[in-house]
Amino acid sequence: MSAPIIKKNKIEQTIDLKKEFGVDFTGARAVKESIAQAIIDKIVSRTKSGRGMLFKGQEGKEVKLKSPYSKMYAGSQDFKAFGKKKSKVNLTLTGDMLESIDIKSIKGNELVIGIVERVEKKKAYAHSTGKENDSKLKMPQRPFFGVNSKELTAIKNKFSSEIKSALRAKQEEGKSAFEAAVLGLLDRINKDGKS
Amino acid sequence: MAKVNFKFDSRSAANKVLKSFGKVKKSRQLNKEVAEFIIGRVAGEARRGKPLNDSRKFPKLKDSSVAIRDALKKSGLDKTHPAFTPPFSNVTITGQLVDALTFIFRFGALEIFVKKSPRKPYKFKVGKNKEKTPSNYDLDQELRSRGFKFFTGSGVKKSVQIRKRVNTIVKKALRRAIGVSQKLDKL
Repeated sequence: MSAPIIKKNKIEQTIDLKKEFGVDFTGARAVKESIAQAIIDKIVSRTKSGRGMLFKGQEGKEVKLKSPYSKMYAGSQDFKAFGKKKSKVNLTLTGDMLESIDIKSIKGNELVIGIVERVEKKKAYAHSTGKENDSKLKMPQRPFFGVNSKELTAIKNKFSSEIKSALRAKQEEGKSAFEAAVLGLLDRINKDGKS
Repeated sequence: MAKVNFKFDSRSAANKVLKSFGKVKKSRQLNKEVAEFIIGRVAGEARRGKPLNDSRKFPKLKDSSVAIRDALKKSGLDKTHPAFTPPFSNVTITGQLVDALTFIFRFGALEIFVKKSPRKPYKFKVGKNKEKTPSNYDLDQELRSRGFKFFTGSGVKKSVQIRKRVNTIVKKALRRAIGVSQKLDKL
């Protein structure tokens, strides 16, 4: 299990599905998309519940996100406008940062989950490290990005039936019509988003 | 009733795919998720003073209005919204108007509008005004005529962040639907 890369210009985690799940997913793109989304959903739901993920070496430990928010932030118009609570730390104001976590690439058995948008990357870096990007200003460290092996095992168990049926379908007849339609649409949305 | 319509192509296409494969429930969830996100963002942006209208601004409040808002706050008679600050223009005192924002899906498009819901009258009175309290819809119309538009269709459509987020919601719903489809197909 590799730890996420948290740099100013790169926030991502690479997951080797063959290594973690013990199954070869080459060609089964629909299942990989689905698993990747489950990983993203896990990071988002954990963070929204006030729990983060602190990596020491390659292994991550679930931690409570440091609470409460600062007096200055809690007194800001933005904070009040979006109905936030001082003691409920969930790294969510508009929700843009967490929602910007997406699949960066899927190649063979390797999934890369990360943040592409520049502004959201800056925010995520500041939260994860406790350092503002271009200043010496410090803020509480609230690491949230990435999944550990325990969370991956839970996802693996959740998807066990899907993995079996997908691999069977792959061997027998390839993609279902629904999968093909969904994957085509995802390609279109990704292409639109880049243009 | 004045409504503002939005049509997001990617969302419509996703709905067509989900519906054509009998995933109707999933398609309704997608509509709801998109609508709730847009409403939440419209409300939040209005309250932070950056409304999703064409200018992304509210007119400045008159000195007399600020004085009344100040007196209302000091009186403590009415429960005000946390985002209410007397001199700050954000169509928010008690929060009832922005909270009355709602949505409906009609002919494949999302319509966002302010409900004709009744407003709780203020306990704080100015002068001897005994007029009936307007509905949220009527108040919105009156404020719009004075330039306080807390959202417009074109303002929402122009928002790059909203477009990005709607695309993300659609992508994520589709990816989740693949997992669900396999579970359903297996039964």
